[in-house]
Amino acid sequence: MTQGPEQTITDTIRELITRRGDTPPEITHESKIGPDLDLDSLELAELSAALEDELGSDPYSQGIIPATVGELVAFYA
Amino acid sequence: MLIDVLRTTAAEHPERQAIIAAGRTITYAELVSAAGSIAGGLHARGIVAVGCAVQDPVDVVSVLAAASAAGVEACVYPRGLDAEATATLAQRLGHETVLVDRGRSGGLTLDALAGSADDELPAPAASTVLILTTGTTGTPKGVRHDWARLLRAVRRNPDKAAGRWLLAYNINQFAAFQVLLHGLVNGATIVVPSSTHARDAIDAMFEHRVTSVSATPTFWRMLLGVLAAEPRELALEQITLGGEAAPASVIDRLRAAFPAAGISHIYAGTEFGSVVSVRDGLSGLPVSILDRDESADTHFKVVDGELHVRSRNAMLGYQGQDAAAGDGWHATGDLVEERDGRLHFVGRTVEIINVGGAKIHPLPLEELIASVPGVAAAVVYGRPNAITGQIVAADVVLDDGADGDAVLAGVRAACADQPAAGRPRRIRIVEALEVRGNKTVRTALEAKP
Repeated sequence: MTQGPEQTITDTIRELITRRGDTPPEITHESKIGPDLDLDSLELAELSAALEDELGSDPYSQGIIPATVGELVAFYA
Repeated sequence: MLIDVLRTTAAEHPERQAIIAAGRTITYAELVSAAGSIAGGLHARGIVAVGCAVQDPVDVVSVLAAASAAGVEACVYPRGLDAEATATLAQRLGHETVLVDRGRSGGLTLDALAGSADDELPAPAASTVLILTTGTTGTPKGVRHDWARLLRAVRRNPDKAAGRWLLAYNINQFAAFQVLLHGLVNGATIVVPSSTHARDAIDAMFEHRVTSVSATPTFWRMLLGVLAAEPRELALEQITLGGEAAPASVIDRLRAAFPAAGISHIYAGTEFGSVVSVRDGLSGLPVSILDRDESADTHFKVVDGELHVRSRNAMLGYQGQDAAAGDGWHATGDLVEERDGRLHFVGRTVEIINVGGAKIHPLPLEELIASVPGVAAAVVYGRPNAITGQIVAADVVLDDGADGDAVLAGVRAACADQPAAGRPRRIRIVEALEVRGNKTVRTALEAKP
């Protein structure tokens, strides 16, 4: 069974944060990708590539920069 | 001229096999005779330049030797072109005559061409050959070489047994010319495998007791992989790496697998010829090559990290352009860094990965990843990215039985000390690396879901 876009998004963000040595905060639709999750441009670049690989497309490649996790999830709705 | 090389060996060893190819062998005496007949036909028809689309390696070498005897500029076309692609290439290169295999249309067959003997042929004043670049960065270019210059750069080993040499390159590639010339000048037998794939090469090496093989590091990596799964006794005495930077990891693995063989790596380019042979078993080039005096045939300098070469044995020029102008220096496109008295290759200018302005070289990262337990081979390349322009991506081939998750964690740990922009952001486990002409392809790949 394949997981939905939301699960893929939160898993990927958690992995990015864990890899830099931080403990991932609770990730909700309201989480702000910049201020709350503190993803830098390289981590965002990796997130966009991961979403493209896992979900077949990503908002960043289409010029859309979601501010929150909810907006990111909504891109796949 | 190539024909003179063949005649010299044929005079001493007429019955020695010059070429062993799938289903067909030819001795030096027979090769001289076949070339003479083709040369007569080229001369009689007044041909000055010819495209060679024949596929049989014995025929290809016969045509090359014949053309060199008749002062005709031959060009070996890439293998397996269809009639339309052949015609397009012939038009672009200005070839009115293309030689094709028996039963093929769109050109002249060797049967139709051959006939008169060569004994009335005047010796040509000069003889050139056109060699196509592999064209990994665009349309292949025709590179014009002088046979005499090419042969002057060939090392002669009169004290060594002639041996049997594998042709692990496609016969249209410059590297194949190097193998052919080195082998034939030294009276060796050239063994042509049914394909340049490692498995077919191993079969040919085993069956014909090949002693010398010159091939790309990518080829050697694949050969070691096949041998690890299916061991064979190979009688290798000389191993040569060329066509790509020779990583220490591959040299070390070859030394372990073939302890009795000599190992060298050569630095060469279609435009400037074969210019360095390194035999000390270390990767990179000795930095002393930068200090050669004026009597040397080749000189080197580093400009903005890029290796430049000037050689007396270089090409005459590109086809369709005036003879090479300027001061003779050729920018190689190879980036080097000096470390421990060596010039280490870090990548090609076209392979630099630009991550948000940070320039990342792929080769040191590949060496780092290849050192992780469980990794059989790795390639590092730039992947287009909307946010940083490119990100570093890596494809990894696992050793048999290696655990993918453990290897991925190992690769990430090995790269953790790299600057953030230089860490691979996407790592794929793949069955095999993408290869073209037995060289690893490092251009940005499209993401595969």
